[in-house]
Amino acid sequence: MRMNKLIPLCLALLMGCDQAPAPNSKPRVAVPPQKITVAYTTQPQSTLIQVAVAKSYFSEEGLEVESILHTFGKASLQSLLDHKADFATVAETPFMFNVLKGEKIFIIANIEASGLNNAVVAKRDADMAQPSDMKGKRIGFTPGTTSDFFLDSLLTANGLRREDIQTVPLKPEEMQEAIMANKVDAVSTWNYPLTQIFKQLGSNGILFSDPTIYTETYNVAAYQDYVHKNPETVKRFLRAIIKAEDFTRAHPAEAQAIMSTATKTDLDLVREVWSVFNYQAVLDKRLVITLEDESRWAMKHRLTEQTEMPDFRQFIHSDSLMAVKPQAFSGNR
Amino acid sequence: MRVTSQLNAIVVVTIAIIVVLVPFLIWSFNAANDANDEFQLAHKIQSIFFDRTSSSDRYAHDHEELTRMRWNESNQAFMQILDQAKLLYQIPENQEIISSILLNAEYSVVQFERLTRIIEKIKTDSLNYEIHNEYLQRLSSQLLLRSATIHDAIMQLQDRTAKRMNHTYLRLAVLVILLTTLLTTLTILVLLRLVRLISRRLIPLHDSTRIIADGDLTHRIQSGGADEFTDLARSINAMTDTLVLEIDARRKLEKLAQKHNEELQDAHRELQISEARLRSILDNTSALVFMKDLRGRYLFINRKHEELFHVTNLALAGKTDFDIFPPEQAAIFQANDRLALASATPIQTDEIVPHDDGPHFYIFIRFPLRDVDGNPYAVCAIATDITERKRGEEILRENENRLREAKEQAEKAAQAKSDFLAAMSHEIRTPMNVVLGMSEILLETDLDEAQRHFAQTMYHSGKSLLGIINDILDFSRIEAGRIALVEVPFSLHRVMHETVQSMRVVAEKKGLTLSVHVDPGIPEMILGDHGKVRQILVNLLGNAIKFTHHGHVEATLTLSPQKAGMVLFQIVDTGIGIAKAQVHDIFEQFIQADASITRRYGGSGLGLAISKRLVELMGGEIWVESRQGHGSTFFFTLPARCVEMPASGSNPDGLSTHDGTRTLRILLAEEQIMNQKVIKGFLNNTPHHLVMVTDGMEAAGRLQAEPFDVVLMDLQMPNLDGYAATHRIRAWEREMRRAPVPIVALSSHTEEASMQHGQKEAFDAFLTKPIDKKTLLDFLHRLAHQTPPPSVARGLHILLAEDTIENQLLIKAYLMKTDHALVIANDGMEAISQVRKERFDVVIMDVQMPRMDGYTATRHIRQWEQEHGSSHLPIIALTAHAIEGEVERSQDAGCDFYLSKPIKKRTLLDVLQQIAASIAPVVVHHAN
Repeated sequence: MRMNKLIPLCLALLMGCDQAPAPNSKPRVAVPPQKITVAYTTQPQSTLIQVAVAKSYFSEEGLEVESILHTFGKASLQSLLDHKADFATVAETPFMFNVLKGEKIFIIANIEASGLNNAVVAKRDADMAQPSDMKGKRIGFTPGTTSDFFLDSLLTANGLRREDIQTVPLKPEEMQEAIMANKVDAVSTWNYPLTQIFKQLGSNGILFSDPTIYTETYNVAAYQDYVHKNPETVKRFLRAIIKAEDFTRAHPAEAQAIMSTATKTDLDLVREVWSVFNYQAVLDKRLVITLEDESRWAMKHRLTEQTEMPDFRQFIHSDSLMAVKPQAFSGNR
Repeated sequence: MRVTSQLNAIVVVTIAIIVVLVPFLIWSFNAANDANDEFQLAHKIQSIFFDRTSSSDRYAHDHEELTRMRWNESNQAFMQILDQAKLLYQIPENQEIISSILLNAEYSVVQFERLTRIIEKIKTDSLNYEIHNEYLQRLSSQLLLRSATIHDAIMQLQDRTAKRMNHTYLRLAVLVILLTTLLTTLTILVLLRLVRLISRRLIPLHDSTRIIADGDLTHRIQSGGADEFTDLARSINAMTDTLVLEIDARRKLEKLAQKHNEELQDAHRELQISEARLRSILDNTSALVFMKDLRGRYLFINRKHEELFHVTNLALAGKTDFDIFPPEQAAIFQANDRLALASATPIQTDEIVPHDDGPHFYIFIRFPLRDVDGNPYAVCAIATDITERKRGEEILRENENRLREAKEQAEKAAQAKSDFLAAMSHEIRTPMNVVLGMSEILLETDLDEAQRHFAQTMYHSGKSLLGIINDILDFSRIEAGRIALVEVPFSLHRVMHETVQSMRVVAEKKGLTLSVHVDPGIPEMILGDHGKVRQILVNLLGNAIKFTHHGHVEATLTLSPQKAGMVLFQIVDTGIGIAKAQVHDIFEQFIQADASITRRYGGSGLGLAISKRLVELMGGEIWVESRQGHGSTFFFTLPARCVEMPASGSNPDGLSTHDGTRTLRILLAEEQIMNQKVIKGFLNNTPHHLVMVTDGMEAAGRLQAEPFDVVLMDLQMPNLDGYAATHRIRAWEREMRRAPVPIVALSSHTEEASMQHGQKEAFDAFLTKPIDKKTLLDFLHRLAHQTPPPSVARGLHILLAEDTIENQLLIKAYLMKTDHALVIANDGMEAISQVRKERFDVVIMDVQMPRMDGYTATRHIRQWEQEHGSSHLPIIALTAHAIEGEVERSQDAGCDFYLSKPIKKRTLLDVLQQIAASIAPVVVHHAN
């Protein structure tokens, strides 16, 4: 009799040895749904949020989400800054600018990274064949965003200064019209507009991209005060994100369909740009490096009044992610 | 439950555990090893990556070439170890991490190269320092970023491999503990069980057996249960029971043994008496008797042995033959002893034993002596001295040898004589062949009366000469004992009738009556040599006709009144008779009744001598009763061994008719109604179909209109007589290329005798009127048995291999008026060469030729045919050897036909006709 119990126990133990501890295995506590407002974008970088909303992972975690959708991250962050949202998705550049402005905000997770999402799409009929041909041309960009920083990096890598070109500030949604109407010769932007414009230009279009000079990060930001006051909410939020990450990895086609529906984007376009992004919730020192690099750039070009480099580690909240996904967290090791 | 079952169950469980867990253990061990390797590699990757990152950081600050080179080296090592890692890490997640590291490493290589270039530019292009420096800073940051990304990935890989290693080691440990625990538990269980068994079951058993061993055979072990201990207790109890019974039995046996012992002593006394008796017999026999053991040591010798070899039994005990005989002699004795020991039955040998007066011959009979199990323990021999007998045999053998030598010499002489005769026969026959043949041809030509007479005289003289030669040859063969009798079934009736019939012409020419009488009681068929019987009859009848000038000659055949199973032949004539004094010598060789008779009547004088020898050879007797001037009667008897003939083959006339023979279509050309009726009557009970015409013209016409198997042609007919009709038929047949139909002339003797030359050859046979029913039916019977000739005959392409010009000319002359074409080869070699060159229908092969004889050539041709797959070429052997065995020799060589010289034209043409009829028409096959 004792043997009968012992053998299955041993076998279970043996089988279990090879398995890593299951994530999110913590028993769920029955709590009343908590309302949160999340500002996020229709950009592919917000895929994990879109999937989490569509698959009701937030509801599963006891969060009732109110969505505020934007076309780009800077606007999304603005909703947070305006206290309209509790969480916002944003690239590191707008976040950096607002830290320099003195905002007490946190990045609680990096949900995407890509070296290929940013590029300059140019018109061949404007004598543009290589990046150095940008000299003297009208280049559209979105100030205070990754578009701004990428353009600058591309110019620098090709021995050009900002003064060597004619900069035309544009919102992301204005880019396509501006280039087609020949108001600009090129635009520095991101997906989906980037690929849409490039396709519309057809054989007249040319892309200048360089993954060695810039890596974009896309993040979830929240007020420090909110994070400190709602630690459990933050963890639930992150758990929902991690579920979305697992789903996206396991079912990319379904995730693509969700993105296409949620952002009213052509499914083919969604698929076309899909491999550019990594869709992982992590936190690491790369974010700090990028933020510091961009701060130096901002200060050098007097894009901010701040002259001293802040300690960006103080603006990254890692405890919550470490609690729910320790393997994703390598930032402070 | 039984103890063995329990122990077996434990063993099975232990083996099952080991069988189940050990493979798992091995697998876990391997997995742990792999995980350890992966973990070690992750560490190595980290270490190399650290070098690489340090170099790139340092270079961003010191811009030193040495630092750049160090980076290059560490980068190369890093890329190599990543390639290695790609192969080692099999888990998809790990592979994904390695791919990510590789991608970032490649980006960082590009970035580092750009960094190198921009540092160079800073050094050289001071005008654009600011922008270059900005780019340098950006690149440094990006490089750092890539390093961080790679570092994170490596950390992740380390994490994963460490975890996996921990898990695999843990699993291994659990397995080892589990296996050890299980085996220990099982061992303890077994030990506990054994201790319990010993204390509860074995000790009481031991105590009980002790009691029984101490002599208490009434004690029984009490044991319950169903295990081996219970079985053991029962067995001990049963053993005790048996012991009690056996002790009783042993006591009885002891009494019985005592009684037997007394009986044995009585038997022993009787045995001693018997042995003394036996010893007395052995000592008083004249034979040597001894016994030896298996190693050849003497066990016993009898008194004769003691006396002869001056030894005593006592002195010889334990000695071998080598102690008393010379070594060679001893070796022979011992070898024979061994043979006897190995044999199941007594063996007899002739051996020489040395005596004081020299060697003596002995017959030894040796046999093994066997114990009750049948195993030999000694060899016994009884040897008898046969020296005297041996000497007698020796003398006898010498005499025999002398006799044999004398006989061989005599045989050699006889052989030499016979060979000489055969050779002479050849030498005489060859020219005789030419003489007879040529005179035959000559007679076919237009000769005047005188010339024809000369030619006929030449022909008949030649034939007489040949007859004499044949007589001499026959006699020589008989004398040499080289005559062989055949033994075949034959009809005595037929032989009598045919022989008499053949002699009839000669008798009638002399105006003698020749009659034949066969007793109806004579068996139809007997076994024997019909040729020899015929020869004797021809001889005796020939003599009778020769020596009778008027009156009659009569041949009768009856059953012998004196001896059962014998038949008696009598040839009675009314001739000159034999003087009483000469009657006894008449059968001696070279003797005729009177020397003047030879001169008057001719002949070799050997006929009666030959007949006597032949009769005696066949187991009969021959004698004569005669009175000079009153005729003679020759008698001879022969054994008549009857042969049972199938009933269906016999009819009242003793002739075969319905035994599967052909039904013949017979054309009878006969003018006389009476004769027609007679022949029709003869054929009444036969299956043959008869068509009758009354003259030659009609006969020729009818034959050309429809096929017939035979024509019976009367010679005297109106319109066209028999000769002319036959002539016309033969001409038509030649013209139409038809095979000649057998034509039988129905003639009187005078007609046949007076036939013109060339007329006779047109006929196939002659039946002398008045027609004898039996002769006619026999002829038809023979014909019906022959295969019908093909309707169209053709000329043959013949090769004649013959060395003598005369014979070549003769054969050429024979074939002159035929359709056959002749090619001549002068010897065997030429013949072979011709056969290889040209296709022939037949070869006529002379046996004796220079360079290569006919038999050798025939053998070569047969071999050539085999090698080339050629069809069988008929070969006719042509020989002058009129001696026995020649036919067999020719057959052995591969000849198909045998013709003995002198060759008669008709015989040769018949053989050729037979060949022409048997061979298929020549079909030319075109080679592709």
